[in-house]
Amino acid sequence: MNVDIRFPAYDAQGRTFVTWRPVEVKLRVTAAPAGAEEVPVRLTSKSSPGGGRLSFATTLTHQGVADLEVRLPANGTEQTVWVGGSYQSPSSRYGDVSMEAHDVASGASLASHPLMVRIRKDANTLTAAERDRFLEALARLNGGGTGPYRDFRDMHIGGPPDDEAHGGAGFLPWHRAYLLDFERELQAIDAEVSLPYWRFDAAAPKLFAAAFMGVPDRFMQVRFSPGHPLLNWVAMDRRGVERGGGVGPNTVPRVVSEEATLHDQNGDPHPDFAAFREMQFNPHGAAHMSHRGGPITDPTRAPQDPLFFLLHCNVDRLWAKWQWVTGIHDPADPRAYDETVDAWPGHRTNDLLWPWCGPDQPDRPPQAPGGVLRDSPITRAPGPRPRVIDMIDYLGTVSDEHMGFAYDDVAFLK
Amino acid sequence: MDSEEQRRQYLAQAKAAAAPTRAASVRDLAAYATAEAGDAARMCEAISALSLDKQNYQEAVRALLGIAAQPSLERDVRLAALQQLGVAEFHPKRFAEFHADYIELLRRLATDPDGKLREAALDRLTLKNDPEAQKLLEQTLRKERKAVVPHAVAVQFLARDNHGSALPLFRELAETGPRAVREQALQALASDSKSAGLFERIATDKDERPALREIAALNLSQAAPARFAKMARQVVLDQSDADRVRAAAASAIALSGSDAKRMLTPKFAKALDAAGAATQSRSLKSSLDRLRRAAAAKAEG
Amino acid sequence: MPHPLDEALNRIACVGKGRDGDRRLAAMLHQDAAHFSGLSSRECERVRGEVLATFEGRDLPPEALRSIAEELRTSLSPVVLAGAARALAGAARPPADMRPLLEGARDRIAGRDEYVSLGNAAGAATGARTAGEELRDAILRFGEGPVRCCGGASAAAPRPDEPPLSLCAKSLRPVTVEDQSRERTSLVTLLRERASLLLFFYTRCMNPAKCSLAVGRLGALARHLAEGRTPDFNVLAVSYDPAYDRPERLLKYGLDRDFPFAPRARLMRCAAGWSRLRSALNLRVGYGPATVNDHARELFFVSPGLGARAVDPELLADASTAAAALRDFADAAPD
Repeated sequence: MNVDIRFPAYDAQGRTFVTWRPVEVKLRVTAAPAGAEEVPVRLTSKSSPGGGRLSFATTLTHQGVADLEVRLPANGTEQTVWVGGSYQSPSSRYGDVSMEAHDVASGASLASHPLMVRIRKDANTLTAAERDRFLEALARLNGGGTGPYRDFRDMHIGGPPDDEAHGGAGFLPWHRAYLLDFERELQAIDAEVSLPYWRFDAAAPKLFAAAFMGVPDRFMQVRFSPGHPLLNWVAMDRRGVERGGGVGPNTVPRVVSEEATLHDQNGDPHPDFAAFREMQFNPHGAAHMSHRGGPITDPTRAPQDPLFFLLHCNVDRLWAKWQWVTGIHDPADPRAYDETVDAWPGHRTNDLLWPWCGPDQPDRPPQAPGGVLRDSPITRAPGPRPRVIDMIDYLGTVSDEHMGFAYDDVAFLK
Repeated sequence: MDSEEQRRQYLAQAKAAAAPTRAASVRDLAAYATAEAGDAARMCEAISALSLDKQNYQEAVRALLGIAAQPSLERDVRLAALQQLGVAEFHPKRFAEFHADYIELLRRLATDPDGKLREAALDRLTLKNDPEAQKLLEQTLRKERKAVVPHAVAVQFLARDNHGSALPLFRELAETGPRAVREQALQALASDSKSAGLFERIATDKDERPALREIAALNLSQAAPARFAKMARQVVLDQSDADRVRAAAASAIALSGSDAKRMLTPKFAKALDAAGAATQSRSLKSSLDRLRRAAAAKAEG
Repeated sequence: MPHPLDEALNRIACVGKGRDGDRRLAAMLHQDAAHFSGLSSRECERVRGEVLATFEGRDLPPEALRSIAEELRTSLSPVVLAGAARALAGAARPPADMRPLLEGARDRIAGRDEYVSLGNAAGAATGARTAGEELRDAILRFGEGPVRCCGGASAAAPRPDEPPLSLCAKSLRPVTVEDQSRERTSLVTLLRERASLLLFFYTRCMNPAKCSLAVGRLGALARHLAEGRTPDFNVLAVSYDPAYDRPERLLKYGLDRDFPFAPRARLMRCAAGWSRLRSALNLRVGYGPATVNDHARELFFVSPGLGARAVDPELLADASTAAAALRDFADAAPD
């Protein structure tokens, strides 16, 4: 007797990935003993040391358990369980966790299905192996200045594209789509990579080190360790990374803290998106400027520094965390987004986001670098041409679809 | 911990830690500006806490432009104002009405008596490919006027414009400039196919500094991939060569396009095993590992 | 030795009044003119802005009007747009259809406005004003209501056909093109196979409204042709920057713009003979020390008999219109 475990989606190599958000998994008994109507099966996860863990439930909930007993029809009819990563137990590589099915009666193993709890993590906490995989994927994406990275540079430049990305109500949704597109490009190179974030209201000694994002010298030239993949980073035909010396390994940048970003002066969470999104200046703009020089301090040049993507990942994490503390995930909730001010084309709830909407759209920049938003082998959301509203419920708390990413300190709460 | 409980705790901690902080206003700045000397640190703090909310934005930006332009104020205060103007720039629509005045201010500061202010202004101007700043920097590199920033910095700033006119100057400085200037000039030539010969010569010259050879080797991989492939093969396997240069060449082969990857034959992969076993350098080992993985991936098709 | 920029500005200052002067000034806008050679892109913009501003108070020849319209449609440079605005503001009867182009330009550079000092070429700099102010003044010239046009050809409409060219097969024989798949072929052989549409571009172009958009639109046209029952055509884009735009860069650039690569739809560079091709088509492209310093948007129909005609690149904005025009051209070609 065996149990067939089928996750909703797999990549071309037959791998699947989950986040904290449970997904619907189909279980089916094969070759059941004759005469049995049901087979009691225990579902657990098996982890390598430091590996990911799973939680199981019979409905979509954040209250899954580590050990779930289900009774599967012996005739092979499929049954559904919900499987997600166990909060705060992410994977560090593919297969460091597997979903296990055992026969309750005999304890015999009926199935073992490897997977990865793939989560965006604090860059300062990555293992050396995670860091190196991320850097290598980043360098390949850059391709010495000729890789797909160029599109991401061209999406975030001055002129009309600037009005799509900055200033308006859609600043956060736009950057969420941009980062997701970027992360999916990285994952097309190495599926085990996810985008780490730079928590800019704390010191990050492991991040601002020669082995990771480098250390700027007095000429703003970022120094890397020998053989570092980013030595081959080329942006605008110039080799290397330039960055001012404002943030060193022990610097705590002078930016509004996470708590103050999420809450008002009374310590209550900002009641709506309109109040929360003022974070566009501080901590967001202040984090850019904390480096005191180099492309990362300029809105139209910032993606020339790969650190930019880690900085913005934290901006997105702050939005995700505000959504978590307020429980406001539903795009239909008027508090979830605000288009009453600074909502020109591209920033209104139902506007398609540029450049994924394609070229030559009325009132939008005529060109559209990079094509549609890259698809994911594990989820259909947010689709190739997302709208502003599509970027809100990233975890699929209300919607049936999730976007395939989550943060290490932001739980799924149904 | 249960995620609901975690959320409750998080909210409770935020509530308990709430401190009535107030973003600074333009009035606060005015008070500091007229106070006795010695208040520069507090003024810098107030500047960085200055509210740029919609209702305060215009007044705040005007005040910041005034502070940055004010020669009687201390350098740190003016630098803090420039930095906060940079934050304000992250709202391009709101900043639009100040943009022309901002550029004018930066152009004036580019020749300020204070070197730090000059450098900060030129940094921001060259990020925008400002022609006045570029002209100034080129003149200093040609020694037609006194330097406004160190020459290595001038090269770096000029290199930000890949449609600029300083390429011939970079080629010259990459050969003849002082140490730091040469390095910056080589970085600036990354995509210059006409410099392939120079890159190859520096990359293979064991008398050159490894840091310089590293840049030259990587540039060659872009400018002349076929020549790089030939050169890199020798460098990677040459145990008498500098680890740093060997590591850079190995990484560049692993991460670059098809020209270099053609060399990843089974014979070469075997030689890499030997090279990896022979070195004590962790970074070289790691780069050779990366190259071996690339060779294995190629072998798998 | 005077700086080439100063030399170029002096040349502008020396242009006399009258029709000859107007024509000389218009010719100074050609991106391939000698005075642009060796300048950076920013320096070219300065020269261009000065040439355009020198038209203030003069008659605008049709060629100058076309240049102004093109700059207003695509330029991101405050000094160029200020010059264009100055030329129109001082014109006796500016064409009415310039107004939406002026408004578009004003909006496009709103976030990058700066003070520009025009008139330096004539040694009579007026007080510095911002490009935005210059554009606003030019718009005010049109008043509130619609302005009657001067009666000439509209500058904002597709440009009138330029005289057809007859390419010399012998002279172009040394031109070898290499496409994104590293396939090399003789350009003449390729053009002789069937009617071709030839676009020029380069991957390092920093103005997204020029090359990036044009190649994207060319891809849409290629798809339209492939899907329809249209007789077959070559849809080709050739790089202005052959040393830099190697096959892998062309491939990447096309893939990013959804270009439907096929034997008849290719991005190419000249592996040999670029200067011959450039000269045969009188390409409006100039070079600085690093790369292209400025270029027009250029599109040609070429018949199998090597008859060539420059067409307005805005034609690509609508794939079916462009396909129809290409069909008409092929039908009318004597060969």
